[in-house]
Amino acid sequence: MGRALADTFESLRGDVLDRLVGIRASIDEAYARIPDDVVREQFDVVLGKIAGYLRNENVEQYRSFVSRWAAMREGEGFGAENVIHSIVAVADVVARSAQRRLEPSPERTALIRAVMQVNAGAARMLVDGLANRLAHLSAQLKSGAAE
Amino acid sequence: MTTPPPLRIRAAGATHPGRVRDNNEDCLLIEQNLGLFGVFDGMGGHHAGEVASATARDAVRDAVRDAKGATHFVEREALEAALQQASVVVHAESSRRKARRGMGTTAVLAQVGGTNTVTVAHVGDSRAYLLRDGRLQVLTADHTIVAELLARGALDPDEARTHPYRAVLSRNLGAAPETRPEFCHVQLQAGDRLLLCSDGLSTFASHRAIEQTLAGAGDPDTTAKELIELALKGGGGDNVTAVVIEAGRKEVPRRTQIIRTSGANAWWSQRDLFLQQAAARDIARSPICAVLSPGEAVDIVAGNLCEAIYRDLEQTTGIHVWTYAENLVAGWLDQDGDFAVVRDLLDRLASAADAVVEHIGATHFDMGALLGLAVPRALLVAELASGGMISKRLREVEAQIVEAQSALAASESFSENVTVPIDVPRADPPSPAVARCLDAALELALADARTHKRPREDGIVADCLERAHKAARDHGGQLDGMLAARELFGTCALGEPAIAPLLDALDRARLTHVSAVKRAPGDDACRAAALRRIATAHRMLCSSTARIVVDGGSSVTDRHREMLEQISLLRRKVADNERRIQTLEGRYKTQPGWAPPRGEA
Repeated sequence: MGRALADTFESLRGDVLDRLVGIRASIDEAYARIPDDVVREQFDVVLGKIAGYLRNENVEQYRSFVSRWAAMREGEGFGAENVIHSIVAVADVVARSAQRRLEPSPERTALIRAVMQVNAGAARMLVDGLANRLAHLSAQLKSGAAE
Repeated sequence: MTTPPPLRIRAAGATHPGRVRDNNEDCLLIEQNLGLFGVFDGMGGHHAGEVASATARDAVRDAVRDAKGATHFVEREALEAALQQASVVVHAESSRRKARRGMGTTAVLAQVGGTNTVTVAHVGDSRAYLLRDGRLQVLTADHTIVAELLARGALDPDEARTHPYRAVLSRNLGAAPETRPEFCHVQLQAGDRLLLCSDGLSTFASHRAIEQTLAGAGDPDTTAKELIELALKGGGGDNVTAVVIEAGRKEVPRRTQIIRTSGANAWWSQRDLFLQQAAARDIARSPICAVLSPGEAVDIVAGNLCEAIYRDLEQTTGIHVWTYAENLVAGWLDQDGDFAVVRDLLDRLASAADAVVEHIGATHFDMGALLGLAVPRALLVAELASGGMISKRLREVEAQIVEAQSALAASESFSENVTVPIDVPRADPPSPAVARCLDAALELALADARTHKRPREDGIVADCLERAHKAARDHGGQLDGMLAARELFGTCALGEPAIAPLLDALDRARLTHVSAVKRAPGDDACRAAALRRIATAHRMLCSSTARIVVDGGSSVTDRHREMLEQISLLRRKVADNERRIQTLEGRYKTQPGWAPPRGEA
């Protein structure tokens, strides 16, 4: 990875952002009610962090950001599953954009794989977090019922 | 023998009174969900023809819908029963009113089945045609006196064309309670087109012209309109109706499709290897497979995933893996299972998939590279499906908890009760230095909050600050937002007009708190840790409040829009806050001695 991948990613960033803004309603209909510039900013933050990850390969830093970003979106009333969907959609759009705009090359494959891997890891972290919440509340519900 | 994949069915229709008549006694039926299509041509004075055709259409549709709901659906039986039912209904209506006496209707129906078969049923002179490979053939024989005389050889074609009774029906729906429909079956092929029409088309447009129009490039909607136009140009002496049904046109595969198919086939060709790899990873030992033998576990659990991936690769969808994962998660959670078990199983299967892709890549580099992206992408859908299912369960459990607690507290006021007394998992306590920083930040923030000199609003801000502070001190910020948010709602008397000030207060509290951390004593590492805890606490508070607003507002439609506007406003403010937090974090990270806050590294 490193700077070369990050630079390639930066060359796609505008295209990815346009596409994400364009398909936002299919990610979560709540996005459709938010003005373009606000959605653009929200996704741009994610793309900026992905670029950062490609540069420094610090996956924990990226996951930490995703967890905060997800909490913010949940805080705005988005469903937890749709927040995960947003994260996955970002990786998906990057992959599609790279396939469309870059010539087939090992670098293109590496870029897509890196973005997909890091976002899959982030989605996994969010799903596990949800599962923990579910386990905790289910246990509480059961103990309440027992009382 | 394998079952052919269902063809994509598209249908559209058009109807017109024609150039001579004022009213239209024809009607059409397009029920894409039922796979049922039809044309009815009513007859009878005083608009009775309109009533007859519409009544028959509704009766047929209802009868087929009911039959589809039954466990055993046979197209021919269903259509026959539907037409008999329609005849009974039309006849009854005809007998009931003098003005409608003698009314009736023709009917031509097409019922598309799951194996690409079409059952055509007809009564009267409305027709069904099949266009295949550019050639048009009539599927039905008109139920007219002349046509039957012709079929028996009692008339020759020339006599038939000019016979005075050429339009007199020998069978119809409604003249009697019973009717005698005729049936035929067609095995559909990709590219086939079916046409159902009233005699207003077959009488006023030539066979050749219908064939050419139907074979045109237009979609079913355009083609149906063109056919109507054709009949009108031919004189339009009768009501005219056409329904065009298209069975997934043949398409030349595009390059991407070829690549897609070859990728899917390459994956499928390694099914045995995938099963071996899954077996080697002991998937049979997963508690999910407890009721299965080892062989069954591999065949069913791994085999189904292998097939789901294949189908998703082939169709570029995610629906098969999604369904697989959703069923897996739902089934296990239904048994009170722990999601970690599902996670473990999915990891083993993903690892088996990696091994297969690696194997393919060893011999076919390009294919390996293609599948190296496509298979993980397909598996990523499993993550989405799991998240969706868990979220759904989470909402159900939360609702049950709230319901249980509300029932307990039914006699007391909302604000006096902790609706959801949740035992929050606690993070490590803050270090003394961080705790001091948090305390100082609270004092500073409270002082700031009082400067606005709006007692009520300032009071809510102070309440938000104290709750967030408590959470930051006690739980590392991981307070249960719903608990605190509901308490805050209680404080605000739960009146809808209170929502806007509460959302404003949440926003102001967050800003005030974050800004206070900057001025609190302590080094940068302390302030970063404090900021993390405070930010988390406010986020949870904000998250739950927004959810309560949304949940509470969903049933109050006239207030809902206003609430959404408030939320939209809040979203913007929260985005601003996020930027500020990031700026602050970035600033702290450049300071010497900064270390990632606990829980983040």
